[in-house]
Amino acid sequence: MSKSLSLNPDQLAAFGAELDALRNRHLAELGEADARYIRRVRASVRITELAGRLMLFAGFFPPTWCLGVLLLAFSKIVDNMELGHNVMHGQYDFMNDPEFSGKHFEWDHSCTSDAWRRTHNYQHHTYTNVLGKDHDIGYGTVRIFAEQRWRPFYLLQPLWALLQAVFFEYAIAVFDLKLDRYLRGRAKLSELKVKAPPVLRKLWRKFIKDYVFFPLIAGPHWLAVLAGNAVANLLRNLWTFTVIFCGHFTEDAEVFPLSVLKDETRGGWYVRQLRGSSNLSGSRWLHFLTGNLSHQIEHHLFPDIPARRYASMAVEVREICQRYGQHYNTGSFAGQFFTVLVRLFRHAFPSRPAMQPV
Amino acid sequence: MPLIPAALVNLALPLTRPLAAFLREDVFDYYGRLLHPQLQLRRVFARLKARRLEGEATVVLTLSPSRNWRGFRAGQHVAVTLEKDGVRHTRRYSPMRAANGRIEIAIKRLKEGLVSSLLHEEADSIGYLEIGQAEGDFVLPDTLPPRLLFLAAGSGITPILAMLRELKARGYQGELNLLYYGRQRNQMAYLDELRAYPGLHLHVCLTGEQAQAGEQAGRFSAAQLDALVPKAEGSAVFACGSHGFTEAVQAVWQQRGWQGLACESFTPPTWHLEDDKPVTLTFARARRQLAGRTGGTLLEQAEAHGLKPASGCRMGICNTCTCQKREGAVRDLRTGEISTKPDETIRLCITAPVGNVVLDL
Repeated sequence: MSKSLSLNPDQLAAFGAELDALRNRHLAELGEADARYIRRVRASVRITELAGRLMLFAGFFPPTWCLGVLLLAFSKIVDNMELGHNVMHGQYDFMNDPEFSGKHFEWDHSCTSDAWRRTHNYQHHTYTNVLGKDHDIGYGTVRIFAEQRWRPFYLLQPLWALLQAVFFEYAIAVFDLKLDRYLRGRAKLSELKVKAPPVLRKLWRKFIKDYVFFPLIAGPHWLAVLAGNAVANLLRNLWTFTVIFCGHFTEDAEVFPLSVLKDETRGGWYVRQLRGSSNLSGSRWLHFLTGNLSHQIEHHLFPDIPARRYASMAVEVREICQRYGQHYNTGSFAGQFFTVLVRLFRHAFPSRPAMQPV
Repeated sequence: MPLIPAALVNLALPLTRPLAAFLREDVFDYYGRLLHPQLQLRRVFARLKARRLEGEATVVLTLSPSRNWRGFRAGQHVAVTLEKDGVRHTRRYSPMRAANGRIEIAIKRLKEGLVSSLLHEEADSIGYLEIGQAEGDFVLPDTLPPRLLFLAAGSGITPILAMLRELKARGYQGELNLLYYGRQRNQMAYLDELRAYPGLHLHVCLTGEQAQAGEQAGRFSAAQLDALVPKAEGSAVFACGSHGFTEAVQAVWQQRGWQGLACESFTPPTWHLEDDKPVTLTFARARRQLAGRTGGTLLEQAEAHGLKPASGCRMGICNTCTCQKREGAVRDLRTGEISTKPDETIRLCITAPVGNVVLDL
């Protein structure tokens, strides 16, 4: 059941207008500070990657090996989240800098950035939490809402989720191929022949880089480098999985039937983004390491505004939500993730929606 | 202060080329620029070597591009990029050959020109400038004709002077005429060099002040042309200036049915605020020109003409339809803001033309 008031068309329009005004205020301010910020973020990614890889070259000496792994994991996490994810949204397109162009950015991740732009930027952000349209609902492997149709496959979903967490980058990489459709004969294999090569190429490239090239040039310490890279990738996968599952699958997150899209207004779109997303409260470091996806609500309302601004936008968004009687879904990282786990276990078994969604 | 010397960088640049197949360009460039600003896989940075004034309103920068630059043909133009307040701005200038493999670009100061003001005022603090590869087909032919006529207005002199310098280098022996238009004498660049050019019939035409001995008065006209260059017919002609200027030249050549005219103009985009005015939309890569109108989004108009640019959400959030606008005036439909900047990033689904637009699509 929704914790938010339902709004009439006039209220929806006014709600949308207030958020548009907030957005335009920040758009007008974009400039030097944002450019300097994202360049520093990029510098932190590059320098920690270099430092991490160099330390792993020193072999299994525990202090350097552990620090090397942590630095490399940090680099990959920041590259994927605060840098890659945000730049690919076009948040820094205003700079006109080819290295921060949303259309051309490439990241340290097995998922091709083109596939990401399609599944994430377009499908997920436009049709957020609309059943049948937003494939990010459960990522095709888990059932976290009663509104999703139950299948016996989901009985083991805590295990599926764990596997997905460990291999998260690969799960995301092949996500766009929607392999289950071929297994069930719902799509032609010829289509796969067109879509698969770029995905395989990127997977292969990433694999060669971390598991062949760098171990090879490490010479006698090849195993330390190989293991270090594997652990760094694992840490990145677990972290990004946890953050991303908290974005739309918490207790109060709502899903919507396909019918909401019919004649949906700008205000309606804003409300859907708000009710489908959930925030994490915490320190500045939490916000940084989650690529500001801890401000998932603001990110979904304003996906193309630089994420460094979400913290200050959140204050106003909260205030606007309060005035319109809209629930602002936020909580601690642990608290929100716990509610995700509850959903994961509860909806492994058949369940029915409490009431028809709004 | 660069960590390695420029000479070494430029020795190394051709050797880095094979790396392009294995490395991410932005990663190489990031580490490269920590060592030296010119150590880039493909991008070209030019060292600013000298700066001087030509006339009262034009600054001439002498640049030394890195070896990534593939050179140019006289008359072509290059994109010059500068950053201001975190935003990169690109303008096009015509490079001219200078001594020691260097090039010169001349920048006339414009009243509200952001880049030209920066290049005038802050040139001393600029160590390196990013430039693009040379483009354009406003160039001299390989076999030179016996008679050449140049028509230049204002800063339209720069590609023409580039050609004149090339002609001198190639030892051109034919007949050379130049009609050079400017508002005021002391604002016209390169007058001294042109006056000293051997064999050049230079006609300085002033449109904004009294002409003195040896000068002409008034804008370009058929009568003036006939008086100054009786044998204009049959000359190979290069005209460069504002849009109005090249139009006037074209009109005369068309009217008389003469051949051999090549024109290039630079014009700030014009725009109107009313909706539903006819405009021309140019899709540069598709080589298509469409009849458009102001007010409607570029995406809808392109689709109405059967083009299929990549698109997604159609509401300005997903970044799928993002592309480069080369020139023209457009309005952001979310903020209502109008932008006339060349080479900027726009999203087709939330952008409407308010004048003629050229897209990199």
